[in-house]
Amino acid sequence: MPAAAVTCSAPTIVAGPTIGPANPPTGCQKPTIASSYAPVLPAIGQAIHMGVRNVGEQLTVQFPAGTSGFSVISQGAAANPYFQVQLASGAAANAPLPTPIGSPNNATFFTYPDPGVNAPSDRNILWSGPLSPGFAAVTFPNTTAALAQADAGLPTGTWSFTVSDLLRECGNFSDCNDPHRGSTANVYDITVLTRSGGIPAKGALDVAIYLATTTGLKASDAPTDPDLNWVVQRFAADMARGGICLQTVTFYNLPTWAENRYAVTTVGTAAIVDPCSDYRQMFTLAQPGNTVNLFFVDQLDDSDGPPGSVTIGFDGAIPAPTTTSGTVAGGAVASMADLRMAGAACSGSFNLNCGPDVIAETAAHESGHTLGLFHPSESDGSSGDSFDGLVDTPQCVCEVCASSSTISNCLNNSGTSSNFTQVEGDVCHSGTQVCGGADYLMFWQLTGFSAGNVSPQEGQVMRMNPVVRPL
Amino acid sequence: MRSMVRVSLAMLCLASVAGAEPDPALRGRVEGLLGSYRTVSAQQWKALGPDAAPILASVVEDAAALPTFRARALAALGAVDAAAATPYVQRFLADASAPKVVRSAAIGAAPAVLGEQAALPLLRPFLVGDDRTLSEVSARVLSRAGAASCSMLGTEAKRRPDRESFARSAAACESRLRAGSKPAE
Repeated sequence: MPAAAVTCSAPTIVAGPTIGPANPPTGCQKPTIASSYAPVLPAIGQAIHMGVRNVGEQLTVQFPAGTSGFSVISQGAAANPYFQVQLASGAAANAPLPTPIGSPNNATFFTYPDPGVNAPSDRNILWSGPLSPGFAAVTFPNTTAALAQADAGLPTGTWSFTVSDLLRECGNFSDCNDPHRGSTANVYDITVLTRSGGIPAKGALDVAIYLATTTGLKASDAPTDPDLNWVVQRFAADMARGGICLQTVTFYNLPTWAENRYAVTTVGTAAIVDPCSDYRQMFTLAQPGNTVNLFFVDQLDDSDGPPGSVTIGFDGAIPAPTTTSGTVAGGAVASMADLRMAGAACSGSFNLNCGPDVIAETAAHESGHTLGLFHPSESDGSSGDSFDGLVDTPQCVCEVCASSSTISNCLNNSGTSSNFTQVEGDVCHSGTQVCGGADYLMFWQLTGFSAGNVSPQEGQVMRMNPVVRPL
Repeated sequence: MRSMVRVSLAMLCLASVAGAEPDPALRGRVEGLLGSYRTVSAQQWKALGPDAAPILASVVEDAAALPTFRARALAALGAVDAAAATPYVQRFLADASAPKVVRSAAIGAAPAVLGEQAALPLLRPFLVGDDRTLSEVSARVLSRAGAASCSMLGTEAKRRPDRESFARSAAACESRLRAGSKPAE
C-alpha cells in the first residue's frame, strides 16, 4: 500500500540570482567540494573529512552512539587517470565505492559484489547503476533490511572500509575488458557523514532549480509564473507522499554562456560516462548547500535512442553525493519543453496531457533518485536485481504479468538481452504486489497510470538521506 | 510537377499510416515506451514490429499530446518505418508553427530518414537561422552525419565565431571523420 501524504505548508518559491562564472571556464571542471552537511543542518550527525586517500587503502572511522545512518562520499582527484571502465558491453563510469565495509564486531557489513547473492531487500546496502564517473556517495540505509537496522541503531565503535572504485573491482566480473582492471592508481577525497536519531517520521527538503533556457524565462518570473507554480505544487504533493515537506524552492538563472550551452542538453551513455560532457559539466554550476539540485533545460536529447530522440529527465547518480553540490554527479536534469502545454488538462489528478504535471512528476522522480531510490521494477521485470531493495514496493514480474502474446519473450523465458518483453504500465497497474507499480512515482515509465505514489519504505529511505532534515 | 507527385505520395502514405486500426495492447506498449525514463533504443522500437508505425504516427499527429511525446514518437517512427516517417519529417521541417521540440526531432531524424544528401539543403536554413535552439540542434545533427555535413558545419563555424557550439560540433565532426567512424544511424 502506498503511504499517506503528510501535511505540509506550501513551499516558498524564491527568485534567486544569476549564479556561476560570467565566462565559461577553461577546460573540464572536476571540482572536489567540501560537504555543507554539519555546519548548516541541525545537529543530526557529523561530517568526518578523511582527506585524499588511495584506492586500496583501509580507513577506520568512529560512529558515535545513536548513529542510525551514514553516507560515504568519494570525490576523485581531477588528475585521476581512470574515470571510465571498459566492459564487454562498452564503456562504463568508473564510480567510487567503499568496499568492503566492516562493522565494529569485525563482521563484513558490506562487500561488492555481494558474494552471497542475497536478494536486494536482504542486503545491508544496495549498490547499483546508473554510475557516475569519479564522484559518488554510498548511503545507508537503502534496503528493507537496512531500514530495520537503522531503526534499531547501528553498533557504536570503530567501523572500517576500503577505498575502492569499479575499476579495482572490475576483475570480479566476467565481462570486464579493461586492461587496467584492479588498478589502485586513482585517489579519492573521502568524507563520511553520520546520521543520528533514527528514521524521522517527517522530513524537510530545500530544492534548487537552475534555469538553463534561451526562452527568456527568468528566475524572477518563478514566484508568479502559473505553470512553474503548478510544477512546484505537484512536485511538493509527490514528496509529501514520501513524508517530505518541500520548504524552499529557489530558482536560479545561469549566465548567458551557460544558457546557450546547456539549454539543449544531450544525455546517453557517452555523456553519462564522461565527466567532461556538457551534461556532467552543467552540474558543476550547482551552488553550495544542502539542496536537491535540478537543472531545468529547454530540451533533453537522448543519444542512445533513434536519431531525433528526446527524453523527459535524467539523474546524475543514485544517490547523488548530496551536501557536496557542484560535483559532476550532484544534480539531475528535467526537460521544460512541455511547460506551456497547460490549460484544461491541468486540473485535479495527474494528467499525461498536462505539461506542468509531467515536468513536476519528472522532477519528483529524479529527486527520488537523488535521495537514493531505484525503480521498483526495471523494464525486464525478470529477476532479483531487476527490483529495488524494498519489500513494500509492488513488483511487476514479466512472466506473471505480461500479455499472453508477449510472455514467451520475457527475459526469464526466451527473451534475450537485446530483445525481451518489457513490463509496461498497461500490465503493471493491477494493484497487486506482483503486477503493480505503474502508479508509483519511481516506476520506470510515466504513463496514464502514474499517480505519484510512494511506499512507506521509499519514504524512509528518502528521509534518511543527509540532505533531508527531520521535521 | 515532380514535387507535386512527391507531395501527393507523401500525403497518401501519411493517410494510410494514420488511418490503420491499432491493436489496443500494442498501443499500450507504445504509449508506455513514450513515457519511459529509460532510453528506448532503435532496436527496442523495431522489436514492436511494423504495426507500431500507425500508432506512433497517430501520436505524432495528435496536437493535444505533449510535444515531448510527439517528438519521441517521430524519432521512433523513423526507426520502425522510415518511409512512414518521411512525410512527417518533411512537414515539421517546413512548419514553423509546430512545437520546437517536435521540429528538433525532425531535424535529428532527417539524415537517417531522408538520406544525408536530401537532408543537407533542408537543414542548412536551421543552421544559419535565428532560432538558437534549432540552430544548435542542427549543428549537433550535422556533426554526426557524413563528410558533406561536416564540411558545411566547418564553413559555418568559421563564418560564425560567436557561436561556440558550432566550433565544438565542427571539431567533434572532424575528429570523428579522422578516426574513420561512420555516421550515426
